[in-house]
Amino acid sequence: MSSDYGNYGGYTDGGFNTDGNAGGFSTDNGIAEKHQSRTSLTPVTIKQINDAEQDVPDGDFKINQIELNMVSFVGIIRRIDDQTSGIVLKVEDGTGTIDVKKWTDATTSTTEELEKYNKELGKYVFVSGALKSFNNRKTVQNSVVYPIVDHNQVLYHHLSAIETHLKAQGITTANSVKSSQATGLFVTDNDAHASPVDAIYNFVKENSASMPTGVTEPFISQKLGFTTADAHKFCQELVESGRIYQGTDESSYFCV
Amino acid sequence: MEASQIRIDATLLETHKGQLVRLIGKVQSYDTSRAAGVVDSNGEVRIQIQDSNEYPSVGKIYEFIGKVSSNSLDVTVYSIVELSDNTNLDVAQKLVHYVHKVPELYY
Repeated sequence: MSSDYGNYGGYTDGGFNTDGNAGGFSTDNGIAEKHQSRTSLTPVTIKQINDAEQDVPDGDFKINQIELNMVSFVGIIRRIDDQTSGIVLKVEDGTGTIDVKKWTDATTSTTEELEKYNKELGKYVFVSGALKSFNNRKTVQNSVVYPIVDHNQVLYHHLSAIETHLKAQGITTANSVKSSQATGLFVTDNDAHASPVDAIYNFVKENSASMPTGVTEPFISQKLGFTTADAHKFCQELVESGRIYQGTDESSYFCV
Repeated sequence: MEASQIRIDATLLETHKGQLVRLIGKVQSYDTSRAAGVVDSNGEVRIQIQDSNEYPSVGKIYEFIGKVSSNSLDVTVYSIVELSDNTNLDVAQKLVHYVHKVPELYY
């Protein structure tokens, strides 16, 4: 099947193949996928940065299937070193230590920078920047460093680092729904308290993958214990609000 | 500060005897003359602060870095960091819970 569409290069392994190689991540198709550098800000712990490795020199750092390019972390400034070209902040978050380089330019002097960061010594800061390797030591370049005023940010940062990590490990949707409910942080309802509309939404979402023609109304009403009329009403509400979509006929639904 | 510390709360003291730890809690009482106090971190934790220049105020929230004694559950504190008053201790507790599920990120 693939050969019929050979001209489309990298798209031959699209999601509609029914053979065993389906899926965008197979590596045996002989066509190198054009590598696009990921530039979104990834929340991490310093340990992840220190453990990260480059597959190729000057390539992106990788740790547990996460590509690290722009990273953000929170930590405490433990030491500030004065160097002629700038200052180096040693930041530590309990998982490790990393150097954060702040270059000085025409608008700032080392003394000013030192003064500014000396006030933050021993306090929590938020750091984001590009992860680079220099003489086999990882440093964070072009960094933005600002003091943390509300320390809930520290907690949330760690939680989102954990979330990002778990998603990259391919934790399935069903599990992630469960775990986000278990945290009680991001999702306030759980199944027991969910409104009928939400219950149907979750149900359709869970079953969409296994029911290619759509999750049918009778199936919903039977599994969730609604009358067919109620199920229809709630489904219509969800369709109107754009949360689910009509399937192959009027009484079956999808959730993307 | 090269060594890493594990995030714990009062419930995990027992399993981390003799280890370097980090815990977030609210100071319930502190006696400056003995440099000792009690912190609420999902339960009571007795702390002993090493550096007499650092002392926590009662009712404030801090992050303590220290070592759990190997024969009692007291924590010898080496460093404290004051956290903002609105720090949500329930979230801190959840974080401790999750940190131990993803050791590859923490220790």
